Amino acid sequence: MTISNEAYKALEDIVGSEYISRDPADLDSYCFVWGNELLYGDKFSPRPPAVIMPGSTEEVSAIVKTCNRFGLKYRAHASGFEVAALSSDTPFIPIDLRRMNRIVEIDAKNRIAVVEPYVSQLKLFLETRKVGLRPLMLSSGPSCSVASGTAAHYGSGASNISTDYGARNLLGAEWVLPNGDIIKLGSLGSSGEWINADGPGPSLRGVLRGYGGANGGNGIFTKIATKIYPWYGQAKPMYPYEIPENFDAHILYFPDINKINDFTQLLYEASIAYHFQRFPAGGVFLMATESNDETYALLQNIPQDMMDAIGTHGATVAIDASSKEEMEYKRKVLNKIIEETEANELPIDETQMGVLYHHVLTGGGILKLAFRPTGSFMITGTGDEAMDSMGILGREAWDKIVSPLYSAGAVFNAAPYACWAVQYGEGSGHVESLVQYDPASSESVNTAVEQFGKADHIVAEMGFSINSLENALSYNESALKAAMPYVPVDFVKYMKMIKRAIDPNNSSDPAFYVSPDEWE
Amino acid sequence: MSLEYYQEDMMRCNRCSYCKWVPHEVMKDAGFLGICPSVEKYNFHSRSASGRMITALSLLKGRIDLNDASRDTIYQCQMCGGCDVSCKMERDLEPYEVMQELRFRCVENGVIPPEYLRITESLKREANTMEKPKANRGNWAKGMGVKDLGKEKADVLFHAGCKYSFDESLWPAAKSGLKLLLNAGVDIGIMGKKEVCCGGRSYEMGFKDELAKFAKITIKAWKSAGVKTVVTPCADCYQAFKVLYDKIGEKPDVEILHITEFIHRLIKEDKIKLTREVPLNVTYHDPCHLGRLAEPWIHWEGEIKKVYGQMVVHEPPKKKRFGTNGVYDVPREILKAIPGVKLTEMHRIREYAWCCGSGAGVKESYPDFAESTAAERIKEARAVGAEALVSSCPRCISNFKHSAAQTGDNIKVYDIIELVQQAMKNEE
Repeated sequence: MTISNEAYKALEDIVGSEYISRDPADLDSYCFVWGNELLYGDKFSPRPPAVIMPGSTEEVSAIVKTCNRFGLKYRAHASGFEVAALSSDTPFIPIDLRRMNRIVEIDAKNRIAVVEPYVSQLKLFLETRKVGLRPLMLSSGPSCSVASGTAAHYGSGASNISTDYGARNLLGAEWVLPNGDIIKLGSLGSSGEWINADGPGPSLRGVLRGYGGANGGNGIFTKIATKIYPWYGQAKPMYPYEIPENFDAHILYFPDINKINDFTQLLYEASIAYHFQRFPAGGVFLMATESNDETYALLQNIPQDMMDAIGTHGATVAIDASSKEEMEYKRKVLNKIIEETEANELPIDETQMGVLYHHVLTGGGILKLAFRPTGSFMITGTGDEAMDSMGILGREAWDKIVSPLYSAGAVFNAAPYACWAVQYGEGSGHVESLVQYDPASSESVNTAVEQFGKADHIVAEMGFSINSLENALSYNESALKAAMPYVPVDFVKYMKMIKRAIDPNNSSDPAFYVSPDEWE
Repeated sequence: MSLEYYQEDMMRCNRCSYCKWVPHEVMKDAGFLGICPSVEKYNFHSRSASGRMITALSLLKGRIDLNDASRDTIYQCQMCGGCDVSCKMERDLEPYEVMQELRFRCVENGVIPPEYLRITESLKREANTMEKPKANRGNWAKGMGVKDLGKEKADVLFHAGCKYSFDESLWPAAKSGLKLLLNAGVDIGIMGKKEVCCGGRSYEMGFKDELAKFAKITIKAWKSAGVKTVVTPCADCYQAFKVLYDKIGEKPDVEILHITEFIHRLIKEDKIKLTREVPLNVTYHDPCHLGRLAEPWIHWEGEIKKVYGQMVVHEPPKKKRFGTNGVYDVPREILKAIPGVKLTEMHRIREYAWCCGSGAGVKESYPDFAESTAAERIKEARAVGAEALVSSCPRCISNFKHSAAQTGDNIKVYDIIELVQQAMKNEE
């Protein structure tokens, strides 16, 4: 896709020359994202024809209408961290929402925050904690966009056990449809109040995001309202980190998968946790060290059987309380669950615990844990179902997809079963099997690609739901196609119908959503 | 090293954008989260450290050329190093070194901001970056009765640097600094017209040979003068002498001190007494070259290898430069020792301080960018209730004063030397 001078001028007239570019040096930074090498064998996907940076909803709408007029594809992103933000096999115009970075409103009474797309989780948290509230924090990290995680893309994080996942936090959205029309969802559409995404007023929440989000394939969210929750910590961040009286954090590891499944279920039923994630407990050594060199030195002193134990069925858990009495109660309950499930506490020092506490609060740790060892990572065997089922998915994904990569030395292989999982508020959970490859090594990349290529079908054959198919190569509907033989309803047909109805020109780039074209 | 040496780092950048913000671990205020002046001003990802890593990779792969547009992408940056601190908190990458190598590559290809030609011409002809005659270099100290170490001997050399030597608005501070030391009984002198540029700023611009050239001239002159200690009020010079000379294998065999370190020492030895009340609510701006960039260079030679399958490690282990070992406590302790001064910290300090905006030739080639970057810092100083912004670098001070005048902010801007002098007036 190229852009004519006329189209470029029309876009430039909307935002001004300062906020649009077609200089190749600028454009190459919008077609480079982690994961590209798995999809295209190169760090760069096709170069976009231009990049544009609107500053308001009206500008977004005008840009989208102009793209429709000139037959240009576009896709919006916030920080642009995720592979789904920028990657595509066909060029499109990235709409960088960086300038839309305002916290519109914090309604402490009704526990609602309204934000523009570039507001990060931590930015919002810094403001809400001043009034004793906290937002959902996803494990994609403190820099991740609140709007992306609630309206556009998945939404899993270790605090999901107390907040539920992204979709359940969305209370309304101002949405620029793929043709440029602006629509306001739920109560916002009728009364102008950000109270309820499902009405009174138009409710299109399922169309807007569904389970996994449309990943930019269905228009652009210019403001969203999200739930905020009680926060019992300090109003201002304190450094270095000291765990306050009304918080408790633990790193645990379990003798087997059944025990960790039991722990997860009991913890959920007790409703005491602020934070919970299944996690290779040894990963705390990655988070608490300053470099791979330090981690390596540390790990060399840990016997392999210990590594296997802490790396396999580990978890981090944190509890919070509004009073001393509540904390006393929660501690008792947690200790009882720990005892019943034969959990072991990983002995770590105060500094390491401080780091863990920070990550508990901010959703941080992804860079040190997932990216630093090898340079990149990808997930496979991913899904959202009942938590014990997710435990099985993690184990099966290890056996059938990941372990050959470990054995071949093509990925980081310090400990087996590198599985990450969180518990959602309504009892289900989310699991991801982590595969850490080196994007600078063609051998590592190629071996991973070969195995990932089989992953969609392997997971589908296991009998897990379509939700389990968010794999490295699952773009352009590949996962959906793999799953179709195993699902009773051709729901993709309906997704395509919706896509055709609200995006007749297929302008909103659907590389990580569904195309409007019928399957043959 | 070379740009090619860092290609794997470029490929391992995951475009997380953490290089755009102060480390999340120390974020304090939602209004002041940015660390990178370049991306705050120009917005496109290419203006971040990650973007420049991508630009470098794109260049190596032949996807882009060095031309006027890519030149601006590379040079609209103060090389303040904030991005490098934030990146290193999380990753084992070297974005700062990639950006430095990019500039070397630009110079090799003759693709530089046109204003740099004037500066390099001045360096060649006059041995300074200020486009002034070298014969006038020592004029700032005329009448002070200080030794000329071209002719006499002293234990300590006072190296004023280009900015203090030729910017007359800064002469009072330079003179005060020298006078403080003279009055404290320090056996000190200057090189006068024989002083030359440290070469640091031109190195940041991409002229690496200039640094080597001036390092050799400078160190030879110091040896001839027989000095044991070199003290400078200029943060740029301090960083060049202490860090960059070492980096290129020209580590000088003398003690290098910033004037704040010397003053601090003299206060401890009771040779400088701060007795006069200076009632002022101040905040302190950490100059990049006295702060994170002044962290001693760490030499490393060895092998990059893979363990645990694909985990990337160094043999022997490589220590990371986080910027935490700059000069941070000394200026703060001086300010706290001044009666009446109330020091309030800004949100972005020490190794994650916001840059003043004038670094690496930006003041000369993109003046509006330098000004807006300084204005952001003044806004932060105002946000914490400061009536005065104090620093210890002539370029920071000059840029803040200029920006405040342009934006109509009446904030007071002081060289820390000036406050020390005010606190000593009764002692003179």
